[in-house]
Amino acid sequence: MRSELRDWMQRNLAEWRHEIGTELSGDTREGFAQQLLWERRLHESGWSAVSWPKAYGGRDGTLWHWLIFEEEYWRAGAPQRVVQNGLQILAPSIFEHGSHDQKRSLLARIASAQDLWCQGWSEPDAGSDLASVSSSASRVGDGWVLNGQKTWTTRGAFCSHLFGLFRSDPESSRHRGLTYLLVPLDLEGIAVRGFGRLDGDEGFAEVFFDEAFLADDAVAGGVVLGEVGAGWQVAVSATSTERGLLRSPGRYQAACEELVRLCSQRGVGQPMRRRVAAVCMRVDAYRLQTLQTITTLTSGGEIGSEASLAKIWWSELDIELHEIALDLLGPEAETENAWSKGYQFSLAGPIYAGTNEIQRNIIAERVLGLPR
Amino acid sequence: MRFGLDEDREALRVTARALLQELCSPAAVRAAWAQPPDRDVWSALAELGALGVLVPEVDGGLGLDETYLTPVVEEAGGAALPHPLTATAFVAAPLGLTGLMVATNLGAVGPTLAACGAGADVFSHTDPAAGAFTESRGNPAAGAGAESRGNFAAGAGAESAGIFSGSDAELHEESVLGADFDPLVPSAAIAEAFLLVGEASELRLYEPHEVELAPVETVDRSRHCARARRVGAGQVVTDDREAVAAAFDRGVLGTAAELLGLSRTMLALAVSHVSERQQFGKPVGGFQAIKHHLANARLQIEFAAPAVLYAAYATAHRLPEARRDVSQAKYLADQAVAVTGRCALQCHGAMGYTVEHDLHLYLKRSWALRRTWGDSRFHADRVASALGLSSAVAQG
Repeated sequence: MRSELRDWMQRNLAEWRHEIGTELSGDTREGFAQQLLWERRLHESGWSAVSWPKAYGGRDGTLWHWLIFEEEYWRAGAPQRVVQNGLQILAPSIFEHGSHDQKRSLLARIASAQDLWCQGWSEPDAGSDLASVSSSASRVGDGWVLNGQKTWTTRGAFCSHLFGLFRSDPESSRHRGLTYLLVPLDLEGIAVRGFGRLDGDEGFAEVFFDEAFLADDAVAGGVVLGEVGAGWQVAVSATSTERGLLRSPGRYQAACEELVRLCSQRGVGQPMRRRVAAVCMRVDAYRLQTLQTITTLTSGGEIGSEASLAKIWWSELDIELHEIALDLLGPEAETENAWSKGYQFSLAGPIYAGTNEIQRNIIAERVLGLPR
Repeated sequence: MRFGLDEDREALRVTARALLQELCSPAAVRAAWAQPPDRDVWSALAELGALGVLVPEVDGGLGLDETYLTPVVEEAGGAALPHPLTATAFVAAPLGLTGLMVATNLGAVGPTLAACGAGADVFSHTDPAAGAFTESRGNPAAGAGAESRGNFAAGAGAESAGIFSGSDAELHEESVLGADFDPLVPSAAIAEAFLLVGEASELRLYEPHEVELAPVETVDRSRHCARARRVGAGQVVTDDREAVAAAFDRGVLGTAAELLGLSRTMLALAVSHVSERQQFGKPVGGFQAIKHHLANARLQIEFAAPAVLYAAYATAHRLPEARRDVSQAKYLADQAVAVTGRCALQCHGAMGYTVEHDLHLYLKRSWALRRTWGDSRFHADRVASALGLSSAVAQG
């Protein structure tokens, strides 16, 4: 599979790049459109979701196949997956909690990039404190009336659908009374405004819900994922299943190889050699820890809060990788280039998907057993 | 494919842990500070087969490989075992030296041997073919001047490229193994044999009557270090450069495992302390600042552990990159124990800053082990060489 994929990537990346001309950031409208063409290529050859069942557009691969895919994908220099929120955050929840109809109707369309999903979790007043979400869903007739606002929604301005947490029980507080809803973004009463992330690309959006009516059948298979009122559990459980918790080391391995190449071109002194060696070791440790995790999962074990350890590790080493590269580039580092772009992107790592401070609390309380 | 300890290896580890808990308690380690430790735990480890894990069955060993021994040594490290398990089981046993408790200076001397070094580019100022030490050392014990102490630090893997540029000639003139300078030998007070590096980088075995020991007071008193002056000829164990380098690498692997065990022990002590110790009316472990310290320690351990296990696998299977993997294991274990040691001490507050608390037994062992068998810089250099990073062009 590795060699087949390597050949495929080389050929198709070249063809795709020839087709699109100048490759733009997937966090711009034009770049997003370019990368949908890339996603369609991946899907047509069955590479978009290797570890999924064939029936849903996958390859019936194991986690080991997934790992190899990721290694080759990033090694080839392929772009970020603009569909990753659907693929890696929503889909695991559908596998875990979705009805038969939802699986049938939604998963294949995620794999083929026909439906483009963004995540509606954060709100202006609910960031790290996600359980304080206040966007509401009121039951009216055969559907829900949505009110409130979501924000920092990655690529929201370019997506067709949103999955999000809404307070369906107005009397509830915190983790209770939330419902996980699947929402087409073209409903009346929904407004989406894209805005610039740190790097200036329109990679963020805020989504306003103003008496938007979400019919029960607005999404084939139904708009509620899991039980009404159990949205928190649906959202959280996905992060502890094998499809949801793993982030492949492939991207960082590829970045390491790039970094070593950059060093070789420039020639570096002893302190820099050590710094590069150190970050490469951290990347390799991440790879090895992932192998251990996959071994645990494939032999029936479970990984829970330990996922927080991985999140801190990869997000911090990602920043270090890019800081080293910028230091090597010196005064040239301020130009718009792949490393300066990647650096700005890496700075999001310790913030999103639960800040690293929240992750450290989780490690202390759930892994080490310290008092809350 | 799978990567992790299987049932057999896990069982051996669990047995070793139970044995160490009984016979190598903090009280036993503390006792070993006052006088050389007795042989109870050593005999029990011998009976378990731990000393002969790497020895073929026909020679009375278990005939297993490094992936079995590493978890056992990790447990011994975690217990701060005051006996030379790494030197005996990892370094000496595969050289055919069995049935003896072996002390060695290879951990101190190894990093300066060309065969064990970070690569030709780092040590290019010497001719590795000469088989001699690539860098000279001053004699800190003899109160040598600042200049030669600087050289000593460089020899131990410091900023060699920077320091050495321009001074190669001077370095060459110095004796490679000063007759007046003998590196530290841990566990010298209890060893039954001494595996020492000779002047041509060969490994020689000396019987106790063939060495004159000058005990050295070390921060971790349970180390029982001495400088061993050779008074007999000893016997050549091997003068094969690759065999010496491999012996060094096995010592590095064992030390990395010990450091990992020490990290786990210190974290466990800290977790238990902060869960009980109350200030401001609640356990201090409930404060976020404490939580984050200990989460950071747990993080380092989480990622050093698979690197140590993989280095054991690579060594056992003679993989071409095994040396790189062993260096990576030591480097990451060094980082883990450095972070964990500092966090553990800080989280114990003044209660940990005393020799009456057990923490210092483990902390001081970690200080010693971090800087022997190659320190972090030495191993980072070896990994840099393996990555093909050349230091030829002076910039950065």
